[in-house]
Amino acid sequence: MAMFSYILLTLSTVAACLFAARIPVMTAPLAASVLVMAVAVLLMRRGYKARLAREMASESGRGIFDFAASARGVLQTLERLESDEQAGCGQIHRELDRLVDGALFDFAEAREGLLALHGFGGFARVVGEFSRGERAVNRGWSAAVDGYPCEARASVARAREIFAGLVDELERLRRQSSR
Amino acid sequence: MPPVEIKTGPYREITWEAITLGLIVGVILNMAITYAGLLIGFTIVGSEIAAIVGWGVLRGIMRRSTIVENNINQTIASAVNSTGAGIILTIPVLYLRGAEFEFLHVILATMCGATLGVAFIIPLRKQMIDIDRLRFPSGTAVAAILRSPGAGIKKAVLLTVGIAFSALVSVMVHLGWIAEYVDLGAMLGMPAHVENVWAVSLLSFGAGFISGWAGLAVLLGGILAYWIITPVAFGLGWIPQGIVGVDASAWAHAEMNRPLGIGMLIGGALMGIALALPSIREAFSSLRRIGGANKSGPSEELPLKLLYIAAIASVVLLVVTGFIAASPVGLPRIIVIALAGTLWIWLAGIIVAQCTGMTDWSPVSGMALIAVTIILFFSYSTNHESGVLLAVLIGATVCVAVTEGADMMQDLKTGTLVGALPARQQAVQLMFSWMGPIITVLVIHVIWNAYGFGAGTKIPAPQAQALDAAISGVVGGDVPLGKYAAGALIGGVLSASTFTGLGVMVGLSMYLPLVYLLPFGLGSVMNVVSGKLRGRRWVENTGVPLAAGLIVGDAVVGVVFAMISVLGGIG
Repeated sequence: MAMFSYILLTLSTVAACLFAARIPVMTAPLAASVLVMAVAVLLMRRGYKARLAREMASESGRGIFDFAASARGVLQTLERLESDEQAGCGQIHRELDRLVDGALFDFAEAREGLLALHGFGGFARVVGEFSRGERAVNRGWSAAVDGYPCEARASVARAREIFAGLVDELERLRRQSSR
Repeated sequence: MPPVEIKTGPYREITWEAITLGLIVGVILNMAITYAGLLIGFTIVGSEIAAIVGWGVLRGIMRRSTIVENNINQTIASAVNSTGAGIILTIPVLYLRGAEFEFLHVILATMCGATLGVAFIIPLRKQMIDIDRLRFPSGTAVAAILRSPGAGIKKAVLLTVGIAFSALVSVMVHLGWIAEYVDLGAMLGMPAHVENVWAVSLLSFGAGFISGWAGLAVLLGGILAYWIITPVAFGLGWIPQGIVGVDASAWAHAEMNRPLGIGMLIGGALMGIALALPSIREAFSSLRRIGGANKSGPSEELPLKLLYIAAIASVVLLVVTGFIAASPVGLPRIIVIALAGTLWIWLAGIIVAQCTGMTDWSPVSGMALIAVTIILFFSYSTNHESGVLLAVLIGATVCVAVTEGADMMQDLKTGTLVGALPARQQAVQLMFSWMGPIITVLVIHVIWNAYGFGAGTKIPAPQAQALDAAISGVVGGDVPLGKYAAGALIGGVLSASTFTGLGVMVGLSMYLPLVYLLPFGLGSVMNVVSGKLRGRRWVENTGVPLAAGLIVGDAVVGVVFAMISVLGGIG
């Protein structure tokens, strides 16, 4: 079904562009082609939703990234780093580097799944807050590289606060969707 | 990471050193890029140069700079130099048409544009950068430079290799040692009307690589325009007899694909906005939540109220300037025109920011053409001379606004990757962006008095000539409204699909020249293929630093040669 909708959209787009390109525009064939495009888009959207629903329903949700667990993991790292008063710039830099290349990268790559789980509004709230937290992590990373331990720790604390809120939000959304 | 000297005191971000250096670099780049733009027809934004100079001066000589301080330096430098692209496209038209105008009016209108562009785009940062997470290839490349001290040996080596290789190739192209274009079509024996010419542009390749999937949509759109529509139009006799070979391809691009592409950009963007309304609403409420006082630290965003004030003040100044410059058009009509122009700035700003966010390409000339068409529609019937003057003036305002907006977004993307506070970048952009138009307009005036420009002169100003011809077309009633409408319909439906921004991407590719689309598309293909073979992490950690180097090397050489041409011109 998905392949059919892609092929249909491609062919109808080519046809519509050809009819539109001619001088003057070939109105009736253009309208028919755009109609077929619209049908193809509807099929695509339906197929997309069905695919995400299938992934969600797959055994033990293996197809879906566990966003709450990932955010909790990030939060634990940040809490540990914040409470370690001996951590110098080198250690903060190493830990944040691992976080950026590891858990934060994976979360960002998998974010599309949030759309299926929580819709546009939930997706925007979660990804918006995640990016905010990620920026605070990046600031901590930069400050550590520049040799400013106070700013690095303050940024870690800010990131921890944002990720704590994110974990709560993901839990709230999970409760809401399981109801 | 090598051991660093531990520093106390506040983390250096907005400093006098960063502001001064940013202004100096911005002014020099603005002059060089304006001259080069009038000469060769396209411009380069010099954020990469500013970041590298920042390294040398702030970190190397002064030895106390930080990553986020250098980010402020490049933000200011690009805010001052990026306006050139919009002004050289429009204002030279007034000189070419022999229009009578006041220098001050041009400066005031374009200054309003700079402020409006920044004020309108800032609220969309949350949506485009935090939620949509658009790539902004140049912004990513600049971040790679800024982060290089802590990014590890491997990434630093990749970045340096990319810069060196790209700079070498670019120097050889500029010196004519290797060809600027490779005509693969001729080598393969393809008909001349089926264009298959590749620009030797590692900048395009690198930008395509960083764009990834979005770039692939651009490549497919290019194939549709140049390898399907044009040959079919040629074969079916839709192209006037006598126009053959490369001229047929150029004719199809100008008369068919380009207007269709502009329509698709508009329709695609409108549909994108409509579909993203829930998340835009969420982004705005998030801005309100965190915009003012942030409990745990400094403000993250400039207050929306400040942006509203800046925007309203700019619109009022624009109305006053427009009225003084073109009073025969009449105040009520000028108010309507200024409001229509402002609305168009908002929409065009979104379109251009989305395009640069996904691909690095900026369809600013198409946005200028639509602006001029809209304004002429309202003003031409009253007084022809004043109508054209007003249209070019507002067109310049739109161009400056959208280039400033796109630049702001690129800088904010860089800022996100290095952990800068958006509010600080937004504040310096708002404070200094108005300076760019003054310098660009002055340089244009000096060049006009020294050499003149236009066809048959030393400075051809090709973009302005094209806009001048378009204005003559609009004035003569030759507006491809049917193409715009059809394109908008197609773009709208494409953007409703599951591929975000598909209508905008395909529209952009129908609008752009194929020579740059092909290396760009190759970069995107490389990204997707290497992602499948080596994994996404490899793409981010190995491919992106290398691609960033390719962008930086080519851009730096481009700006250096622009400066050399300025010195040659002065000589």
